[in-house]
Amino acid sequence: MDQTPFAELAAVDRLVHEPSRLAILSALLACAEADFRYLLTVTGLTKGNLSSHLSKLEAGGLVAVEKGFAGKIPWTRARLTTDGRARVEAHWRDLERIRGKARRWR
Amino acid sequence: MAGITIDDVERSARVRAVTDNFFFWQGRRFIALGPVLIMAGFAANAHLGEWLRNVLLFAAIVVSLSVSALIGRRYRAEFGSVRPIPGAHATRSRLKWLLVYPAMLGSLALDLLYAPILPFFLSGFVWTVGLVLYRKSTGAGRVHYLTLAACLAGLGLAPLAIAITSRDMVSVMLLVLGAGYTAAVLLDDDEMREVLRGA
Repeated sequence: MDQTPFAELAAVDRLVHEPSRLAILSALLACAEADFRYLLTVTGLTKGNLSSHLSKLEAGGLVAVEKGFAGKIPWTRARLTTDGRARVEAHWRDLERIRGKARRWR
Repeated sequence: MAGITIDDVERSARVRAVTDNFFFWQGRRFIALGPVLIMAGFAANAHLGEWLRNVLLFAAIVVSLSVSALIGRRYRAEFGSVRPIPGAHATRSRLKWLLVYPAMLGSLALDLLYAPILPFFLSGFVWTVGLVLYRKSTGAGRVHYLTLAACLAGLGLAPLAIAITSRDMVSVMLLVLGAGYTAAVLLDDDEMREVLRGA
């Protein structure tokens, strides 16, 4: 076999199938919404890189980003859109199927 | 585009599990509960008036909740926050309140009331099951809960091996559980940091 079992999924949804974006979307799949700091924690990205990934996910219709102020302190929260949740759930179903295959391949 | 490896997928699966149960993985939130259990264990056998014992335990619980709220704020500042999906764990909550907690309290009552009759320590077994269910229903991982559960199961058999009644075993279990739980919540915190930060 000349490619990892997960390579076949890349063609399915390239927007989801990237390590940092998969971590962001997996976290958002498990909650109603998460704040920017939480997503920084789970990705280990810089603020700029996380913003860039969120912008791509927002442009792709997977994520909705909301910004505001609590007094003078700015906040940013992200959540999956309805379509985004369905796509990420479908992607995870494929991942779970291939995880079994990957264990054997490993 | 960076390719995804098996490790990326495994880590994302763990991030998903921890996010889904974020409150429960913030171990230090519950750090004060261990000393409360230890105190309850000592209080059960101490020569205190019932009124004083109840006041002390009530005060300890209030302090424990206050500490939990303070530590929760620190977690929020350090890790950020997530809002759970409403009703996502409705079945877990129902089972917990209608079945698991009543069974745990019921077993304690039986051990206290029917101490001379029971040849074993019922709470040891029932609380073992409760602990295993807690771990499984809040994102698995954290194998230290299995170690603590094994200790409780061992306590369940203690009256068969040594001359001790199940009534006295209640105090022993609270002491063991208090010490074990304190260690477990610190290990929860370590494991949560490892999962979320990918360390």
